[in-house]
Amino acid sequence: MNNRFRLTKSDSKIFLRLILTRIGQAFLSVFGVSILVWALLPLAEGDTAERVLKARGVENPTTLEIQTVRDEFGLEKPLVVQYFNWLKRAAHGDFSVSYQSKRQVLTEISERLPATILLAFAAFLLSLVFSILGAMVSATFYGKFPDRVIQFLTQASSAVPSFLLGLLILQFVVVGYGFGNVVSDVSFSDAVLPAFCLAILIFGSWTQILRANLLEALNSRYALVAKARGASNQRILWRYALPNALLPFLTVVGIGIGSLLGGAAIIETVFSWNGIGSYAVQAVAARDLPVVQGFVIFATLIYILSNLTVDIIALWLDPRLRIVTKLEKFI
Amino acid sequence: MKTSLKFLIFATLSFSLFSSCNPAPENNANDKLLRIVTSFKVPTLVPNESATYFLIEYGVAETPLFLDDAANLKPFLLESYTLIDEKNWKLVVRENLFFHNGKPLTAEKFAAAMNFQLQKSPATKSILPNASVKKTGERELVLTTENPNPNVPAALSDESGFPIFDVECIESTNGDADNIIQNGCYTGAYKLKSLDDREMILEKSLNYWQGSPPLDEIVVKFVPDAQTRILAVQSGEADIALYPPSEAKRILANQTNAFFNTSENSGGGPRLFFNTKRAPFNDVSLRRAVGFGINYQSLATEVFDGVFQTADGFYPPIFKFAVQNQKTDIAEAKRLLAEAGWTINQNGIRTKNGATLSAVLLTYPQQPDWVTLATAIQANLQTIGFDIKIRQVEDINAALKMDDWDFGIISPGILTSGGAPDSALQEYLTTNGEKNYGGATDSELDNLVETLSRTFDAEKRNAQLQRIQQIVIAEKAFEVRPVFTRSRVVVGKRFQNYKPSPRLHHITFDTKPSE
Repeated sequence: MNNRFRLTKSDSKIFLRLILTRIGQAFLSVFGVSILVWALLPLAEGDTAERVLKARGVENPTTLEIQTVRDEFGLEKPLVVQYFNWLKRAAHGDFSVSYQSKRQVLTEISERLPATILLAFAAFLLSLVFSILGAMVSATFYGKFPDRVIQFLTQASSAVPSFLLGLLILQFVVVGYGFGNVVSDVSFSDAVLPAFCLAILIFGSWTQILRANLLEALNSRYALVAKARGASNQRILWRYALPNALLPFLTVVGIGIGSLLGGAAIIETVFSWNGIGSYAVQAVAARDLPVVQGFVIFATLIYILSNLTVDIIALWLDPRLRIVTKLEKFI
Repeated sequence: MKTSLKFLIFATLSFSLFSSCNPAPENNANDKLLRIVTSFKVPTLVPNESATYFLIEYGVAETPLFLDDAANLKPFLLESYTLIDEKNWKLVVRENLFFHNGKPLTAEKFAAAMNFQLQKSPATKSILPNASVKKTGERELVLTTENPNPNVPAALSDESGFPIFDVECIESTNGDADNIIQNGCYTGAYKLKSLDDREMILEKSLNYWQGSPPLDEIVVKFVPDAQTRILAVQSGEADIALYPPSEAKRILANQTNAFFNTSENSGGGPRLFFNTKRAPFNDVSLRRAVGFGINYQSLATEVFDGVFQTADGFYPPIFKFAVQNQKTDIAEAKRLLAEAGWTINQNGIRTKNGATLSAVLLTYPQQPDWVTLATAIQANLQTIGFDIKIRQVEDINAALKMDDWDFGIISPGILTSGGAPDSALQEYLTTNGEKNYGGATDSELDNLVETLSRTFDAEKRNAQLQRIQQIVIAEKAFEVRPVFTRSRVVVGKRFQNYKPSPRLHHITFDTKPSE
């Protein structure tokens, strides 16, 4: 292993402190989110029992039906009691049952998670390839025609709304040319179009950031020294600039993975992809609040975990960050 | 690293290209297969829960009687029904009925299913409280109600009330969907083959009482996005897309791969009702002016492009008791407003004693068509001098319980799914009605609704209902019916002639591909 990746005793302590601090912060964040998310239930406009029945397709419930639901969900207990009961259950992974399906929310989310992971994985791979390729070409031909084309594409990808891109792909690629399916089964082949769509949406920001990092690396002193020692432009780009540019890029990628796993809600809905994102959209539309609560907590955890993981990897890969953390300790 | 990155790029792009080239499903799919895409999942298969009407809509479960698309109540699993006295009804069960599991549907099992619902289903208990059914002959039953109830026939065709099923079969499953599917507890033309949260598959029942159903298999996919459902029909992946938005009619006007069809008749429509407890609509003249000021034909044919039917009364014209007493008359609307002292100012808005003629119209985003409708009504009423402000609320029922609105658009039906008008009239329009949000009060109306609930004679009921409509629409103007809605679908070529049912009976024994 390269020496710079080896951890000293002091580094290990910093690592441990960082992880514990972050875990503590994560608990606080989840607790804060839990209050906000739980408050959706009592603060939402209207009668909860009527909302439950509406989510189950009963537009015009009778008094008896409403009372039956009140008893079922314990809606007549005080709010504080309702919150702590909910928190206790949520800590054990019990987010109650979906108003619509009457099944455990955690079960429903778990069943859809593999589909979201598959889509996120495919989209992540495509995004990574597109953005690295785009940034490398752009940096190599800085200021020239290929750079301008890629700059235009990145700006366009950031500007196009996801649902529009999805519908255009379905209309012209699937309906127009018969490639792929409108209603997706959760399979690798059906993942390609939604993954491509997601990748295009991420491509813009990732490419811009990596391109900026690459240009900074190419203008650095070590690149100048390498050039003076006779290294070709390609060698400088691949051997020196890219590894250094990838470190800050890692943080952006980590956040991107969080958003992909948290559910690419619109794309999943447009492509009928049976993941947790489309499930959350349906739950919001039906005001199925236990599902919305479960989804928000799940997405929060994913974001926190992915950020924590990225921080740790960055600290491990980049010794300069460990020095900064040591200095912070003395300030 | 350079080589491996290039390989990764090549591999990913190749994978993308090849796996995208999945050929689209054949348009000329198996003639005996029907593929439907819909927005609503089937949440439960348990008969006493709230949403069993899904099973009736897809031809899996059936009711004792059937309200057809022309609003005629017909025998279905029952051969006949007769009134014995005001509290007792004789029901005769049809011969040769079988459950999907092959067991015969006897009078005893029929009674057991009805009693199960009467005891365990909140919806059924509300329709016929404390009623019971007894077997009195080989095929005869007697249904006894707590009070005289002329709406028993309508209750027997109510989708939420009386799906008929094998009680032993249901009880043995403990509510487990897979067990219900395996055990074949219902009676319809199509039986359940599988159900998950992505699709439901049905296959034809081999022992169905009307004969062999024309379709071998029906696949119902649950696709929440309306545009995606239409694209599924256009791509040939589905034959019928349910619940398309009304604007799809315009989009598909010149298409050859998908067609927008609507039902012939309307089963009802949204209600625009007034808050009579406060100004301005505590004045009956102003309510009547609104009724005359709305351009009903324009709403149906221009705003909604003919997807909806022009509303000309409280009930759609297919109902025998419907009275056509609602019409547009701008001159009369202006006259009523002027007579009430409201004069037009330079901005075209009416004022009286310094007060502006303004009103808050409630609507809700869950029904996008009603937002469009509210905007059109706002424009209509501006021409007679009203300043209408539209307020969208998350929960319309909760908002209506407050007192900060003037009129609102809501969806609840004016009839039960069995076609009975009594309960909606009692709840919404009588002085002590549970959902009389607008504070409508009229002693003659209260008496008429009360008398209606005890009247069995069809002619007398029609006369009472006609008088009720006269009070509600023409005289007291407690409500306005802006449009009569029609059911709508997008269909592919194979089902080009498919007409949706106003009662949302998507699949019946007669459903088959176009010739």
